[in-house]
Amino acid sequence: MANDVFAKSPLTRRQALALGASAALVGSLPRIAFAQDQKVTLWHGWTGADNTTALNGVIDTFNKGGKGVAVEPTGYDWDTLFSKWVVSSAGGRAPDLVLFHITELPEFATRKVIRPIDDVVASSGLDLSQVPDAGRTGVTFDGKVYAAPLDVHPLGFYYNVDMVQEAGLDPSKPPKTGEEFLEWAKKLTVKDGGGKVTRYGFELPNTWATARWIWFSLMYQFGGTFLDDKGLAAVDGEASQKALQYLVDLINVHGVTNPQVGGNKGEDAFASKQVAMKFIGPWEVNLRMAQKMNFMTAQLPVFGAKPAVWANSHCMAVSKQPNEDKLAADGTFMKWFFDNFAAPATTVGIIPQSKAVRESAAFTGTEQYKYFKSFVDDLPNIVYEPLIPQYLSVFSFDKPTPLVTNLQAALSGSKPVPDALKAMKEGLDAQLQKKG
Amino acid sequence: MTSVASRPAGRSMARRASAREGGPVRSGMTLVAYLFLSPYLALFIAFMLLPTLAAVGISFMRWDILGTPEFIGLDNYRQIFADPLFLTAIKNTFYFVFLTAIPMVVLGLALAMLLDQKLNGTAFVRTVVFLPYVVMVSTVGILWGWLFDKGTGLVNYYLTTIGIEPIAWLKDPHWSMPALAITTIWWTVNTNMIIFLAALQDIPEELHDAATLDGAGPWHRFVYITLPLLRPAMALVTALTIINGWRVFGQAYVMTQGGPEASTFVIVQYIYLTAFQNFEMGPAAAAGVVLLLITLVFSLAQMKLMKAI
Repeated sequence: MANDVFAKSPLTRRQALALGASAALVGSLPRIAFAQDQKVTLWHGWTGADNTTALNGVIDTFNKGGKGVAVEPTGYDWDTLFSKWVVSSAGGRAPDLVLFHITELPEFATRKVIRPIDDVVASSGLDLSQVPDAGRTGVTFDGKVYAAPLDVHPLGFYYNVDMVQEAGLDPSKPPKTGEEFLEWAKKLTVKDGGGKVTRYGFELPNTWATARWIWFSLMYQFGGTFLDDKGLAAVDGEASQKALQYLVDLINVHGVTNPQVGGNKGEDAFASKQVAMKFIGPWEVNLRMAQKMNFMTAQLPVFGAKPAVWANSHCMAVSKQPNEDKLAADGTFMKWFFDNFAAPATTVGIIPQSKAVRESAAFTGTEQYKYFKSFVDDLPNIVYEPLIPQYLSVFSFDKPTPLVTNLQAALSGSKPVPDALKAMKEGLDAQLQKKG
Repeated sequence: MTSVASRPAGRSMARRASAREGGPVRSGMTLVAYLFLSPYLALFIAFMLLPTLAAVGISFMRWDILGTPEFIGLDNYRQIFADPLFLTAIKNTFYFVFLTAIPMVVLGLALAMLLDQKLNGTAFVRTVVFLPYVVMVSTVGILWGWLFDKGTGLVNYYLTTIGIEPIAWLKDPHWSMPALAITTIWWTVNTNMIIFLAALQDIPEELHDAATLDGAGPWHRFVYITLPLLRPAMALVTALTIINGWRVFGQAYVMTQGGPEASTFVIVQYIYLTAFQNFEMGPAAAAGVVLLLITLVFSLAQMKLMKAI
C-alpha cells in the first residue's frame, strides 16, 4: 500500500522523508528556543473554569516573556491539593510553588512542607512594603516570611437593586447599621396571600461556610475574639453569643431568612432570586455580572460596636525540598505574579494585596471595579481567622467539625445558642490542644 | 477404532489417578492455574493485601505521614472510640445501610423481573436502567444536589403538585440521609438488577410450565420456584449491598460533606478526614480496621443466615 502511495505521489520516497524531517525540525524549534528555561511547577486550588483560565492566561504571558523560567501550573480542589501536597512532600516530589490561603500557612510551616522565603524575597526584589500590615503578618511565622501575599477577599454585602427599588428602598443608600439592615430585610421579605414566604430578605444558609464567616464578622463587631489569651476557644463569650443570637433571631424572630434556603454554587439563592441580599466575597461579582443581574455591593453593615469583616487571602509559598537551585526561578515568577496581579484579581474576583497594583488603572479601570470598590473600602476592617497550626481541622468548610456542627445546630434551632456555643468550645478546645 | 477410542480414556484415567496421587500432572495444572491467576493476584497483593496489612500495622502507630511512625499500642483505638464523631459516623453508616439494603434488594429483583419479560424494547429499557451506573459519583452528587434543592429542585416541584410542602432534603438533618439513600438506590440498584436478571434467565422454563400445568398462579410460581432458585443470587446481592453500604463515601462527600449537623457523616469520611485533613494516619487506620471488622461480621452473619434458610 505504502509503495502504491509513493508511486502515485509527485514526491520520491527520499524527498518525502526529507520533507518529514524538515517539518519535525521546524516543529521542534520553539522547544529549542526555550530549552534553557528552568521549569517551575505550581500547584493551586483555583479550579473554577474562569479561575483556571485566568491563571493559565497570566502564566502563559509570563512564560512567553523570555525570563528564562517556564511555569507549569496544575489545579486541584483545595482538599485534594493539601493532601496530595503533604503526601508528595513525604515522597520528595512536592511542586516548587504552591498557592493556598494565608490562614493555612502556620499548618504547613509547622509540618515543614514550606520553607522561609526571606532570601527569595530579598533577591527577587518582591516589595512586601506594598502589603498592608495584616497581610504581612499573615505570611510571617516564627519571625520569618514564608509566602508572598497575593490578594485579600473580605466578606461584602450584595443586594438585588430591582428588588430594593420594588420595596421602595433607595439602592444608593444601603444599610450601614444593624437596625437599617433589619428594616431592609423585613421590607425585602415577600409573603403570599396565605402568609407563606415567597422570597426572603437575606440569605443565611446552614451549609457551606457563609454562616461561619458572617458570625465571625459579627463576633468581632461585638468586641469578641475567636481565641482567648491562652489560645483556647473564646466562642462561648458574650460577644460571640450576641452575634449568633442576632443571626438566629433573623430566622426565628424576624422571619427574614431561612437557613434551609441557599448555599454554594447551584444552591445559591441570591443567584436564583429566592432572596434579595447576601453577604459573600468579591469572587461572586463576575458570576452576577455574567448573569446580567442588576445588583450592587456595599460594605458590611456594622451590627455591633465597631466595623469588622471576615477576610482571607491567597499566598504563594516555596515547598521545602531539595530544590535550592530553583529558588531564583521561583523568586522571578513570584515577583512577576505579585506585580502583575491585576488581571487574575479581576477575573477571579479578589482584591490585590499590593497597594501599587490595587490602585493601578489595570485594576481600577475595569468594569468590575465599581463592585470591588466597597471591598477595597472595607480593607481597614478585615479580620483573618486565627493563624494556628490546626487551621484545616478547626475551620474546615462543611465537614462536621465542632465549629460547623454546632453553628448549624444553632441556626436550625436544634440547640439553643448558649448550648451550641458551649459544645462548640469544648470540641474546639480538644482540637486546639492537639499539636496540629 | 477400539484402540484409538480407548487411548484418550486410558490417558484420562491415568491423569485422574495421577491427580489423586498429587503427581506431576496435577502440580503442572496447579502451576498453570496460578499462572493464569498471577496478573490478578499480583495486583491484589500490591494494591489490596499489602495496603490492608500496612493499615493494620499503622493502626498501632502515631504517624503524620511526614514523620517517623512510633508504636503506641492500642491508643489509636481508644482515641477513636472516645471520639463522639466516630460513634456518630458508625450510627449514621448503619442507618444508611438500613435505609438502602432492603430497597436495593427488593427493587433490584422487581426491576429484573420486569425486564425479564419478552417484550419489544426490553433491551433498550435494560440499557436505560443500567445507565446511571456509568455516571461518576461527583456527577451523581451534583445532579441530585440540584434535584433535591428546596427552592428550585425538581423533586420538590413534583411533591408540591401533589400537595406536599417542599422539603429541605439536604439541609434538614432528618431528611439528609434518606436523600442520600434515594440517590444511592437510583445510582446502584441496576447492578443488583443485572445479577438478578442473569439468575432469572438461568431458571429453566420447564419448571414454570410444569407448575402452570399443575394450576400454580404467578404468585405461587414466584414463591415456590423463582425465589428458592434465586437464593444464591439473593445471598450475593444482599452481601454486596450491605458491604457497599458500609463503604459509602462519595455521595455523602459531594452532596452534604457529612452535614447538616453531622447527619450524613459516615465512617469512610471519618477515615478520609482523619487521614488527609488532620494527617493523623494512626486513628484513620484504626477506623479502617474497625470498618473491615464490621463488614466482615455482617458478611459472615449474612452468609450463615442464608445457609440456614
